[in-house]
Amino acid sequence: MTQFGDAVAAQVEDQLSSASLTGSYRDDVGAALRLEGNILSTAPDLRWARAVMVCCDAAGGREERSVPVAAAVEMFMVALDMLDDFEDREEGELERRIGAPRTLNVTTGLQLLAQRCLLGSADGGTAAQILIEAGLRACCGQHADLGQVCDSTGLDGAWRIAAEKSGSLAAAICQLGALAAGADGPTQTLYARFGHLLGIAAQLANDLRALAPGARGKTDLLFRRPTLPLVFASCAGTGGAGAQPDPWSSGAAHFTWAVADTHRRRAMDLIPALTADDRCRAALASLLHVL
Amino acid sequence: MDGYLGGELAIEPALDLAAMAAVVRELFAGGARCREDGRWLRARAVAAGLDTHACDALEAMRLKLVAGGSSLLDATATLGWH
Repeated sequence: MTQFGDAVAAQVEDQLSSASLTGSYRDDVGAALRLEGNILSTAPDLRWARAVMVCCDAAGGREERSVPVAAAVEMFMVALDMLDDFEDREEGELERRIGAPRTLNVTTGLQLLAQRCLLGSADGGTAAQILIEAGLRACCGQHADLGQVCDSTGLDGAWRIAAEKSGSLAAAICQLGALAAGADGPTQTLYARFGHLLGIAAQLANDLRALAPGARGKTDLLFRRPTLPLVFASCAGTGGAGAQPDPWSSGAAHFTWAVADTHRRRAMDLIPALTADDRCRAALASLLHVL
Repeated sequence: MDGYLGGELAIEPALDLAAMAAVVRELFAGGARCREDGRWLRARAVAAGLDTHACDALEAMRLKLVAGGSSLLDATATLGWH
């Protein structure tokens, strides 16, 4: 994994150095990519890159074919994470250093660098189209998320937001891994289905963690976000009119966990159709350790 | 290219969230008697028309509820996807 991580980081560095950027802009884009856990940091978590690589491997492709796609996905997801901070009104580290306007400009550059990286890879046009379509779906989910509150969103609506925000992106990431392996269209769709279930489970787990006592940097309760646990708690009417819904006493957290686990189990069911290789099956299952 | 290129991916079979929520509400309203009786929960989930995965997930959730403490949050583990 370290070798793979190094290869992905080198690809990202290559994109940064080969693009026609001013020194100042390159430095700030690089700073974003060096933030804790990101691809150029000293200890990158590589969660997106790893999903691309595991799916590429499981679909029969060599690891090195997944490197450009993994690099693009890592840059794209850093941009989305930073935009998410803005939208949640949380000041990120880069914003503290260089201010909001320049940080926003960095997110734009990261998205363009991701597309540039994909377009330079095998099947680059198709890969770029997959990521763009998924990004647009995620924007739709985020738009609904930001425009609604838990009291006015039904359970199905909250689920749909999770599916659009995260299911679409994880679907694309897994599909891109299969595409990098040279898989045919129907096989890619199977990987997309696997990623879709994985992404929804992960989003619901994240929504649940946001309700943990003392959760850092989470504003779901404060802004009454239309997440599945808060919608459940709101429907349960705990606390009376206008009160903050209590996701723990109402069973909302437990309901959300069960829904997420249902998606995880369905994704596990898909794995035998994705690969016959036991090692690859175990690697795919490891992606589901979000619950 | 005949693979998926964006758009909505259907979840099949569709997950009946309202039915699942109703079962959880009954579980919480039923107190210790329901929480400690796995047969009650499974029978209720099956009667609600939930599929095997949803029934199994509810039973796994019940066990965490009985275990109490932070078992539910501990079980949302590690990757920090968002």
